[in-house]
Amino acid sequence: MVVDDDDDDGNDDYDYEIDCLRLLRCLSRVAACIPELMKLDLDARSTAAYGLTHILCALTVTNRELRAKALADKDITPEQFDQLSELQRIKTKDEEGNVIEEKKVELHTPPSLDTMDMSVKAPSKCSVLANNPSSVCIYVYMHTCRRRTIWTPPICAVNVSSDWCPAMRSSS
Amino acid sequence: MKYLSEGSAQTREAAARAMRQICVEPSIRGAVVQQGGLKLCCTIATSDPSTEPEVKKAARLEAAHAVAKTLVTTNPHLLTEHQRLGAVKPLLMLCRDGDATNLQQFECLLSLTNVLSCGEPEHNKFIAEKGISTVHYLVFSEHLMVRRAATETLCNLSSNESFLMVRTVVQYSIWTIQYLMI
Repeated sequence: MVVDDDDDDGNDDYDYEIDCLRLLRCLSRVAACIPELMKLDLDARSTAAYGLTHILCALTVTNRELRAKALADKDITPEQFDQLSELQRIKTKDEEGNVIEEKKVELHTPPSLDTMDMSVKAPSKCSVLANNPSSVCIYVYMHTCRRRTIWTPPICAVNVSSDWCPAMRSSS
Repeated sequence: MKYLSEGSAQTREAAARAMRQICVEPSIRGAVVQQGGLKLCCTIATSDPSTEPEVKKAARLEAAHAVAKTLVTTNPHLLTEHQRLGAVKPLLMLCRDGDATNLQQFECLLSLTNVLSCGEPEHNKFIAEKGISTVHYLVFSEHLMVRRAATETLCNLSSNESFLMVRTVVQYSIWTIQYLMI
């Protein structure tokens, strides 16, 4: 596929592929300039050094962190914001003008960084836990509690029936 | 690393923040340890503000958070004893800081759990730095995960005799069961 950089041919059709390629080119340019920036031999106390560290700081920040900072002013965490967004529905109108509520299409989003940190920690923790019987007992106990919480309701539902409960039989 | 160790106050702060943001990616944390980032962050985080006024508090917190993130996924047995002992102080400093967020405290406690699993010298260093009272305070944190992580940290100390003299096993067992039942 040939990409026209100027894009002045009067074609109004929006081409996502061209935009993605442009974005990738920009990203590759940024990635390519990092080794050059690292080669610079600057005085650590100069303003240029501060500018360079500021650039590196901006290059390493993640979207999630920026989002968390923006939401911190509203006293809400990103997780709470996601839950609110989940509850929010797109309101559309049908042919007669009545408002129809439709659930938002779930987009594929990457897992949160906190979750990633915790999921990554698990394998290393296993190796650590191997040397700590007390911690192993706690985790085993925690898993047992979770299973009980999950499986108890169906058992109760089976027990509470008219055949089993005399009071329910008499009322029916 | 050069800007983090020799730069001006603002440069150090920006470099520490960049270091912490780099450590968000777990696959890079090993390289950070290999290239001396862990040691440097520990030095920055434990610097005395009276003798080194150029290191701001924000830079110290960022550096300590970078240490915490690094040690969450790094096997502590692969580190040298000096590195493990040197990491205890900055982690406790961040734990007891009033401006620290729940995430920072949580990651510090996970790192401490990993470090304390190594042996007696780490336990003694932790107790000498008044870590018991610090983590004891976090056992009653508002955040559930912080409470659990703090309890787990104290569980790793359960084999230490000095710790057993401070708190009874029964008391911590009750806390442990209480928080895991939530």
